[in-house]
Amino acid sequence: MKNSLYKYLILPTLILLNSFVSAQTKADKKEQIAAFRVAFITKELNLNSKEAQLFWPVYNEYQDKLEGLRISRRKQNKKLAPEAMTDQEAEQFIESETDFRVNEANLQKQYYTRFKQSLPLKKVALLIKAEEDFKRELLKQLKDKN
Amino acid sequence: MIKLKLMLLKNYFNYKNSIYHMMLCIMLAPLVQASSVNDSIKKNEPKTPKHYIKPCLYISWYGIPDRKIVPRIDSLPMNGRYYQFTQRNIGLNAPLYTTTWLNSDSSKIKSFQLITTVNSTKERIESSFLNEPRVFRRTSIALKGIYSDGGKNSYFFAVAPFSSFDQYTSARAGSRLATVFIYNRTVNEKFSYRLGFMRTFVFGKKLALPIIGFRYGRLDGVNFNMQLLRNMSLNIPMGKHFYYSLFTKPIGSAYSFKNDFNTGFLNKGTTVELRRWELLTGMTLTYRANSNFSMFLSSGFSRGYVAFAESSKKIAIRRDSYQEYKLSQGGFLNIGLNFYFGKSKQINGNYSMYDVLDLNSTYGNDDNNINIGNTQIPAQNKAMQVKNLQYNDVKDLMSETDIY
Repeated sequence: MKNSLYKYLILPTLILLNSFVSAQTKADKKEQIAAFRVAFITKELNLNSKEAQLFWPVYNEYQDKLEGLRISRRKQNKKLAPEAMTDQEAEQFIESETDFRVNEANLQKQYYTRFKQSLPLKKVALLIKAEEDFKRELLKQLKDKN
Repeated sequence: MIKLKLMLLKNYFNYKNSIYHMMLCIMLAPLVQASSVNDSIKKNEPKTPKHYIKPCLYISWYGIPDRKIVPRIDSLPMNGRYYQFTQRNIGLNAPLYTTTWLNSDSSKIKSFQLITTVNSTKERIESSFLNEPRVFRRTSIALKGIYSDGGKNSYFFAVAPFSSFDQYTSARAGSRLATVFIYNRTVNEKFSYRLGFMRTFVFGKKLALPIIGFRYGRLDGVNFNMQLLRNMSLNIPMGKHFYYSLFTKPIGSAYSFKNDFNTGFLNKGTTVELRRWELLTGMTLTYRANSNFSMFLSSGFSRGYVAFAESSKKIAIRRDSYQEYKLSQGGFLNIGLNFYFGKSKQINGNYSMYDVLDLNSTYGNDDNNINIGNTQIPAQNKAMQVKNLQYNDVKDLMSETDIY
């Protein structure tokens, strides 16, 4: 019985272990980009220790919420083929897309107000530029790779 | 006998059935999920991760080969004094509840996290002072709370009741309660200090001890971490996947069990109090395959003591009634696997939260000084480059004006 027990346990354990070890998961890529973003923005904004301590928790929350919006949009769009939509579905699609953009802008407004509490105004302005530059830097890296 | 065999067979088939059902559920899960996708457009509410800490399943093995033991004062008559110890451990560290809120000027995010650790350990002691190897099963359910003010201050508490069972007699070998309270101040990303106290059995007996500690160096970089009287380590990340540590820490516990000694010193049938304690000094190499999996190999030298005495409910055991044996210095081996599940809130660059994660991994996972490591703290990015970047990784960020 003991042998059978091990037989039944070892195989699922090995499968589980293999899937855990070999998976270069989306989460890893996300983590890599997030770490790069931190390094990039820290350099651009020249944050001191006190500013960094206040800024990053709020900025991470902002990124989590932005990602939540993007994921729900992706899920929504996955189900749709605009060519085969009914009028009602098309209406809902337009509404959800515009909602997404409005929500994204609202979120940005809300969090930039908060950043003003922990960073000097000039650094908040620099942040807007740094975020744009970061995007361009990623696109440049993608272009260089291809 | 036949009845017993039938019972075992029945249990075996029950076990087989439960495995079969479990595998069936895993296989059918995607189908069930797929069928729930509605044809019409249903609004997806944005979901953000709830917790900062990912649930972690950890498995480890610790062992020391045959060691010579030397009596401290008196000696029991026995031939060839030796001692051997192995420990198998499995546990789950999981967040139960996380809440965040803003301070009055919206500049700080305060947080409170409630975490549980369920831990099961099988400890096997073989020694010349026992007439046969003794196996103890130890189970603990710890509850931990961490409050962070979003800036420099965090407070940690852990309550970890545990009970041990003697496998041979199925008798309860003692229920005990270990507690920890710590105040942590993150002065800056390179320096933090801690003050607190613990009620612990890690030195083989119940002790209430202060905790005084500090860390110098970033938690995502090279750092020296000294948490007296719990552990001391020099941690060196080596690239993205490997992490090297030099450390020293105590491990140990206390047990009670029914006596069946053949030494003649203790009365047969009485309850015996057993204490063991080791101070480990060695190195750990951790391999972090990805954000879901890490494994470690730890080795070095240990020394310590083992002691036992007859206990009685009426009379408190005097210290001098213990038979104490020194463990000669020798090697140890400790290996382990950590599996992480689910998603967690982003913590990049949040050094206060790095300290919170360190508190969670260092303290309160059972009272046996098991450290699940800081794998969840993101590695520092020095390369300023993302490897294997794909279109899908950046498509959400793109607008046509970025191209020209």
